[in-house]
Amino acid sequence: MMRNLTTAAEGEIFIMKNRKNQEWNPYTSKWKAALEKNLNVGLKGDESILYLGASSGTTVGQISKLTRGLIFAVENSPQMAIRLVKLAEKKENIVPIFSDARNTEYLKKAIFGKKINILFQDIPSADQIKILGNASGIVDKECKIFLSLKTQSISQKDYKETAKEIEKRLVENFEIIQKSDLYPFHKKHFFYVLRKIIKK
Amino acid sequence: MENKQIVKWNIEQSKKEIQKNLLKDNLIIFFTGILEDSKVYRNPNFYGRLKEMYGLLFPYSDKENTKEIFKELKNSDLNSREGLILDSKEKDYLSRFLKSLDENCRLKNKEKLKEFERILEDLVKKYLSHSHKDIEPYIIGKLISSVGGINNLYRMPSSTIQLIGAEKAMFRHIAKKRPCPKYGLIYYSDKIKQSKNKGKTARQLANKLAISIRQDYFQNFAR
Repeated sequence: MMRNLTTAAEGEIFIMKNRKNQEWNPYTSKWKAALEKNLNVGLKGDESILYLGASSGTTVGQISKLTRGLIFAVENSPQMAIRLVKLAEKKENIVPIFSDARNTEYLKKAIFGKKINILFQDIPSADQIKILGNASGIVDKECKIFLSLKTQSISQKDYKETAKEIEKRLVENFEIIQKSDLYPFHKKHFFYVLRKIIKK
Repeated sequence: MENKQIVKWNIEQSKKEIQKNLLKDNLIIFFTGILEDSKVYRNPNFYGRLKEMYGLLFPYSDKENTKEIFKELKNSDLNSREGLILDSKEKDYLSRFLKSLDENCRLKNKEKLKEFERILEDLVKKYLSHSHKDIEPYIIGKLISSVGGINNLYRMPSSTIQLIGAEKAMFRHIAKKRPCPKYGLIYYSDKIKQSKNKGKTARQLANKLAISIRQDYFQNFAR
């Protein structure tokens, strides 16, 4: 089976074959928008994922078809988390965690020492980078890190300037492999593919 | 641990945590919504509002058809296991509301609205006793529902509370440098209506509200 989705067209074909309920729409999901922008965010088939900011689970539901590993979906608001739990009862590999993403002690307890291959963060708040820095303490050294950045929630200046300021802060702890603007799908959003810097 | 056990443990744990985080301010939002609907429209139906309430009481059921939900709520005894747990008084409030509806989910008699105003006042007196002294119950219900819950409201500074509901004028002021708004939803309270210097009293009222809402939150809602 075709598992390594590197281009948008491949992803489209894979989804068309396995489609049951819904299409994966790039206008509602940032992961799909990154695929459309030719970033290297494809899945091989056995990754386990830590997903911060899962909301009601539109993206999580789509990803669960593409891997056999567990997906840890973290969400803080009760109304959204109810829908996430409903989704998790239907599928086998979704783990709903009702907690604040800043509370890393609880996250460690809920993961039970599983090795995590991909960390995805999509929390539009002012301290987005700080949350990512704390959460990257849980994961492995070789873990891929995806960050979708909403510049409007950090400051109302020109969005390209704020992205530059944030890149300066990102470089201290992470190595930037790829980056892109998500323009036609999401306005004033950026997507980064990162890796942890191992300090000696 | 195996994967299945991890999924099971986490589902149970998050169900417990969600139940703790469903607060009683949802009841206040529900009754202000009913009063607001009946002021805006001539004879509205309440299918949508009841569906929201049903989602809080029985969160993990699969029913989505609004008419079925209305029938089930009429017959049920409002005891929920996994959702919001109500007192005997609050059950009485809800069942009184359900009895006053006809087959099409509209109000039988419009004079019942006065009764719902009294219910709202009782609820606000019980849960928001400090801020009840400052402002009318209907307006505080509107403030909470427009923000989305008391969880968000108690974190706000008084200057933001003063301008809730006047966002359009506020952003026009920032972008085009038009004059700044002085009051939002607060304007409809009697204190501001009667005073001559309305901007000043709006600021004073918002200052008092910001303090009293925090008192109420940490007395009754925080855990």
